[in-house]
Amino acid sequence: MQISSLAVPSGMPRARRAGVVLALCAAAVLGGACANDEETTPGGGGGTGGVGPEPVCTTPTAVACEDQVILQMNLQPLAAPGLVTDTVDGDGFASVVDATAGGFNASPPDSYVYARFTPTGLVKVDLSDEAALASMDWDIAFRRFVVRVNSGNSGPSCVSAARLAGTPAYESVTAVPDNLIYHEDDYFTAEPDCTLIADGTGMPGSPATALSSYWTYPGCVKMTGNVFVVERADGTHVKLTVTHYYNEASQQLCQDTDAVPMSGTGSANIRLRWAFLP
Amino acid sequence: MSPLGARRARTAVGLALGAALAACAPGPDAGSIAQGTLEPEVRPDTPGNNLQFRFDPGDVVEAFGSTDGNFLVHFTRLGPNAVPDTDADTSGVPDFVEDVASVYVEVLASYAGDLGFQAPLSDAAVGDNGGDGRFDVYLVDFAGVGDGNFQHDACGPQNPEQCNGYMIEENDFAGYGYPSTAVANRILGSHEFFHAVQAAYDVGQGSVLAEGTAVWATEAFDPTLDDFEWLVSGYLDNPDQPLDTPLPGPVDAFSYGTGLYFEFLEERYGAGMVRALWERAVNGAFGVADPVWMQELPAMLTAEAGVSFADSFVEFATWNLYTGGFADPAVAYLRGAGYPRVRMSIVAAPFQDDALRVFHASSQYYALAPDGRTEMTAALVAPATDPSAADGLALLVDVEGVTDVTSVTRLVDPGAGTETVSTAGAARVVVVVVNPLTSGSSKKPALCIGTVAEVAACRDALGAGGAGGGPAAPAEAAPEETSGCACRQAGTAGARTDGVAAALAMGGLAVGAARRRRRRG
Repeated sequence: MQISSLAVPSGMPRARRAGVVLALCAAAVLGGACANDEETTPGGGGGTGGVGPEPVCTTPTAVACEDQVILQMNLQPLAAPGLVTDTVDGDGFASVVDATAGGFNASPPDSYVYARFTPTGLVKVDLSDEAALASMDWDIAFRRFVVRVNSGNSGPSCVSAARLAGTPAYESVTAVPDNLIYHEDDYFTAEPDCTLIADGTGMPGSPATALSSYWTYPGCVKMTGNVFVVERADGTHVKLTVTHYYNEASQQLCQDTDAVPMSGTGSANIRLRWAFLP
Repeated sequence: MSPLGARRARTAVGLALGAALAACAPGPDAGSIAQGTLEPEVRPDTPGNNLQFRFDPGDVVEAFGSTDGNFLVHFTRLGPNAVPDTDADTSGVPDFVEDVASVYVEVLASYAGDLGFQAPLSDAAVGDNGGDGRFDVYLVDFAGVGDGNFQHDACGPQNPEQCNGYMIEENDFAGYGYPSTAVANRILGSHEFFHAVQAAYDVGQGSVLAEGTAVWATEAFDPTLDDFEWLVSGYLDNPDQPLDTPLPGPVDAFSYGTGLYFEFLEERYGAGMVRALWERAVNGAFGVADPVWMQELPAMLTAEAGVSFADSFVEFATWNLYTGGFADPAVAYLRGAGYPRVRMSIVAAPFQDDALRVFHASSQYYALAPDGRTEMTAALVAPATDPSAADGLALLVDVEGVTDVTSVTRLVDPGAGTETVSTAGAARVVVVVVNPLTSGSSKKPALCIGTVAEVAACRDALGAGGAGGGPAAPAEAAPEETSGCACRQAGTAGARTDGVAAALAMGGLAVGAARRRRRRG
């Protein structure tokens, strides 16, 4: 079953947003998972006063090196048209994000596609890059091969990610492991220096985001199979692994040969699997 | 490939990004860029070399010396790297090779002779130097992913940022978009050879100075070439980008487009400005151990032209109004008619944007129809939470007819909102916000445009309480003198309407979009 994600305007009143989500839930026939407010997530109290994790943060923090982030990350003032599509995948979802951003070489590229983890799936948040720097409404963002989370140099929230040791099977992760070390998206050196910290792939301007180790670059965007736990601002946790950057055939070719054709690869249509953890 | 890359594949490869777009393994997006290899004393014909662009092991490589004794062109006659075999003069040397050599002779005479730059450093002391101390040009097949590249060879030892090198260049331009191989050779040779000239000064100045001045150099060498006109849109589409900051991404059109700024320096202040800047970029020059060109630019302008960077940058922003159909060689660029118009945000009066973001050394242009207003003004308003948000900014009001610039006024006090310009009969008004600072965080004032009453209401709505950006620093000369253009100082303040009228006027206020700076939307 596929669920096309509707963009939820970030400025929409909370009650109205909840209504959108509920409508989506009905369409998705997700039953109990959608019975509550969108912010009520598995493993989380969602601020309803019930048992749940403590929020990690509730107020925004100014993004450090904001000018340099805008300039060096080529952030844009208009929201991206790319959509997010979800398919139920066990207890979670398999999501496809159109992170094509206008295509390779697009100048200017589109903004990142911003999204939020919800019980109904990965919901696009209709934000421009520059608006996202002041918004706590999103968790994760995608453009081409760069994936950011809302913290540090990416946004004012406190979403962080930890890579699980080794390459555990995604299905085998059923709870938040102990002693994880979470990383926010700190990929610029401290002010006033504000120099981009590269991710080590050798790709010019590719930042060392908290999730950047989902890929390597031996000649194509090769999946590492790393599994991450993402800690959201409300204290809930999501397990996540990125499975594809290219289409199925090209990704397999990349995995096998470290190369892909020059065209027809379906690049930047990112597929990920994710689920809330209790 | 992008239009930029397709038409001028060199702009993708020569991007100082080094080697090439997707020549080997495709990048993440099926077109990656490998950083330029710096492999001293290895040339495209060195046995066993692994350079990205090189002769094949079986190629028979010949060398042809230029008439001035300064260049050696290396080529082969068979295989993928073969040059066109036409030999109309039956000299025994393909005409293509002779043409390449003659172009370099001409280019060297232009740069080192006419323009007074240093010649590239000799490679006589380098082990694998192509045979001798002559400058080497290797003609190899780029397979459509580029068309030429200057490679650094040996650097130092006295100054690690001064290097010699050699040229690799497309062998036949088959399938490229140039009108002829002769034009291709002139564009490629003049652009890439200027990188060799730069390497005699300093190789560490970044892509804006490197590519921008190389684009300028091509125009200086031969104004009939259209490369400059082709590339200046990289700047004119992005005037809100700081002058010294490249655009990220695989094809940085901005760095190339900044050739326009260097053309401005030369046209406005006289020949030698670019050379003077490069001379200040040399390690140790003027007592600076490792200069950064943008930091040296103000001193150069003061010394060579007696003008501050701030005033000159405001004038640059003014000149950029005189392009395309609005060109006027009497007041701005000589060949401005061949340049596109600067990118503008089309808005409606009255206009309010409550949060600009104006980076250092950048400008933003807002175009609007007067819609019957006979006098208009504009103001930058600092929010109470950031009272210095408009400090140092300049505000221009350009009044245009259908195809001409009628006047450009630099408001004395960008925060006042009381200085008016006549817009009677005007087709369009363009308000230009200029940040003429060389560094620092972006400025985030609000912008109001309209009649005096509309701007006053806008200021009130923003809670400005009369606070503005403060008067701009006085120009070192009257605008008419500094620009030679149809600039004038604003007249006296227009009449302020009463509060009711202002409030009514604000009823139609066009509030700025959510974006905080006008970018390439």
